[in-house]
Amino acid sequence: MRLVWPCLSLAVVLLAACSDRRAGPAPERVPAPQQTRDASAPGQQSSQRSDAGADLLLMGRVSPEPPERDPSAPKVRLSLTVLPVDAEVQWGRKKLGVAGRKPLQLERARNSGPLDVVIRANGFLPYHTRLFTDRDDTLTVRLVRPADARSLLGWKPAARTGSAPPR
Amino acid sequence: LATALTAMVAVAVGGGCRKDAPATGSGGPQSGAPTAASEVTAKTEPLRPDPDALPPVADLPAPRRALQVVHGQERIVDAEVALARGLILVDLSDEWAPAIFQDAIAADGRPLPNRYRPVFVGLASDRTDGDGQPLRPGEKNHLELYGIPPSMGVLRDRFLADGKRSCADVDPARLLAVTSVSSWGASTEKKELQRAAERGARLEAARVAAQLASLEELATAQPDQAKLVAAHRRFEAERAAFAEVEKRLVCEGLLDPTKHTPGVYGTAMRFAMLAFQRKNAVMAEADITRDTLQALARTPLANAHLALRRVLTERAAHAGQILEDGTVGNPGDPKGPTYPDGKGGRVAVPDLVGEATAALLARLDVETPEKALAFFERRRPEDFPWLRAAVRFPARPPYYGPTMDLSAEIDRGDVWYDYPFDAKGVRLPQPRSRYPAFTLYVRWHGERVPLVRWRTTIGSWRNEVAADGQEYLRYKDSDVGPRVWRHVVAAPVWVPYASSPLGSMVKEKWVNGVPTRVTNHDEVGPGYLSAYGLAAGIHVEPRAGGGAWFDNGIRTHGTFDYTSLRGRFSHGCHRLANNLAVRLFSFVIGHRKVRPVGQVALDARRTFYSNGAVFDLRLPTRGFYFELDPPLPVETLPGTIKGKLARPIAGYVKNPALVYSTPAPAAPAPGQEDKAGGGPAGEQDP
Repeated sequence: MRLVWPCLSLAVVLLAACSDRRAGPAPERVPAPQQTRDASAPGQQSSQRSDAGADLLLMGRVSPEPPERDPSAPKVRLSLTVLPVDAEVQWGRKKLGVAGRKPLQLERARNSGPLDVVIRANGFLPYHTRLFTDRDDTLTVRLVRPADARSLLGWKPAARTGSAPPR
Repeated sequence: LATALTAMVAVAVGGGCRKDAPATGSGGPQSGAPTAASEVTAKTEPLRPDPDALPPVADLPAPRRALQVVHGQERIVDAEVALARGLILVDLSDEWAPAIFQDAIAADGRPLPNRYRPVFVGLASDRTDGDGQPLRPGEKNHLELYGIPPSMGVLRDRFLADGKRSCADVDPARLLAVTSVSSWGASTEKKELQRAAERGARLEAARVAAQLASLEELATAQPDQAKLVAAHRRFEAERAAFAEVEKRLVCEGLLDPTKHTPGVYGTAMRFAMLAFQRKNAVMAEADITRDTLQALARTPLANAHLALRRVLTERAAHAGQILEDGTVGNPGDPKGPTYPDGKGGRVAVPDLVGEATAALLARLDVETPEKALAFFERRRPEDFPWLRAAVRFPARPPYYGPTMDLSAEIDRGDVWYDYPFDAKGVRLPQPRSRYPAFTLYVRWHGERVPLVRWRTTIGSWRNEVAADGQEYLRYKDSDVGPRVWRHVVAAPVWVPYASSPLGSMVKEKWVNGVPTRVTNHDEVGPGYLSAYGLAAGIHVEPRAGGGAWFDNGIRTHGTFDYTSLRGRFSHGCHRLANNLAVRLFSFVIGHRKVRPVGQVALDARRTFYSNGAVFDLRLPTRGFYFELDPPLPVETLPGTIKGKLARPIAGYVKNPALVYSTPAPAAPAPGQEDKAGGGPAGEQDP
């Protein structure tokens, strides 16, 4: 079981030194105020960070979100870009459309609840993500090929199924 | 000016109408106002004067309407007149949310939408789930224990449904004949029931052999059997109570008898029990405790009335912007806490919340279950978008004002630093007679006056997975000393560490009609299940030179884990029940100089792998922040250190229950987290 960890990406290993891999109930403390980076897929868009915020608190700065286009608009605009290929975007039983370099643009009623979507393209792992409807939302997703999955946080080799174990 | 004049005229008229003019009906059916036919029959005894009764007014627009029940008769009064008369408008609408979840306006006039507000309202109204998505038909949230009381519309439905259930076939005496009902897992239950049956058969055989009339006579005649007889009688009483529990859960509509095997505490019944406990705010997690039995022994209508009292307590506390709830001592106790009245005398710290709730119950004429049922029978769904009551609350003490000199204190109570196991791995007793307590004070005439005192938590030994992948024990200390709350956060988000365990990060839920695996946002929030609960105050320490603040990760925050407040430990934070955290921080932002910051940008994202798919955890916001200016002082007292060690053990300590393949790794390099969790270097494994 412990062999899983050595398989994680270098980024994750480096992050482990300043992280808290605890078991049991939910930890309560925010991360130590150190600069950290996203432990995510290769080529992940780096515009978003993990564990940010505590550093801002340390400096006494707290930054509000940028102002909305029109906070009173009854509908919000969602934009989903998918790389490196076009992919189908599914929300429950509904196909929302195709997203690629040309983003999939949607309009939803404000505060109608997040859209948990699954993005699928041949040759790539299904990708589950969430679009928010409490304000305009823009998201870029980079799909991951099965061969690259071992660099993802939490990757485990697929369990052997369907046949007796080799003798 | 016109409004003010109108109000003055109305006040004058109202003043002249203190003899309580009869209700003339108001609003008409479209407005949701009560009709003459729906009014309660007036009592025949002489009416006591009601100086706060306002004249009924017809055809008011919804924002101006308020409800009063005067001598049993409902009337719609002018909300502005009520305010002018010093009455409090208690928002009873289904759109209500506590002050900390209200939208705000920035200094530059920009609106600052509080993104959790619609979710809170949707949850309270049984319209949406914690993600803000619609509930399935008939689904109920029952989130009172998690800090989200049901809306009045939900309570109306409950009263109308439960008012019809008498559950007369349930025998409360049998339920109350025991202090609890033992329950076991499926396989153990079978064995335990079998064991008890065999014991009963043995005792019966002994009774017959001894030619005695009862087992009690057997116990007297053969003292060595007395303990067994007592245990058997207790078991029989518990089984009798269990049968009543089954009947009651079926009567309540929570247990489908076709999915239940009588006498067995199976999955369906456990879910039913959990639903009953959550519906009635019983903290028991499906265990059949004394509190549970007491709730089961009450009629459904009586339980609904208790729920109404709790709901109105929250509404009253928030409407009055009051906090004192009697937890610092009994106001009638001469030894209880007092404050100087400024005239040389002393006055007991009141139970303002209790008194305000009583006033609200009286104003609405819902002081008994039957009256409350009548109240809800008069209500129609169109009432709930506007419903508010005009009521006089008890006068607030003179220490109240727009900016109160508040401070918080956390007493850690009895603290043990000693390693909790002996050499053989047996847990050592570390008893505590004093538990951690949170107190909010106001400084008044040079004294600190306690307003509330609530149970909270401190850190202690916790399991932690070290860099070598093995699990160790580590002492998670709660910082001692003076700090401040500079920021208060509504619906805070907990950011998991880069390598936090992923076990619970994916869950299955219905998404647009299809069961789908989705990222589990519950633990991170924002939401009632967030590790930080519904609201938090961030403990920070000013750095020398000013301008910078040190955040060691300690917070006073709400928690979904309400049972932890009964004596368990945290990772160092100070937990409060979610509803109390919401009350507390709503009170703080209402009585301090505050700058609403709005939703603080986080824009964090974590991508991970689970069972053949990639998942995103997206955290766009850290929560809705309020900046306190000046910050509010909060001090954590060291408490009473028990045992031999005066300081916590630093670093990892092996758990005697586990087998280790390698020596314990060195403690992590000193950092913010380590400073909070350990003592000075040199004190290592015992």
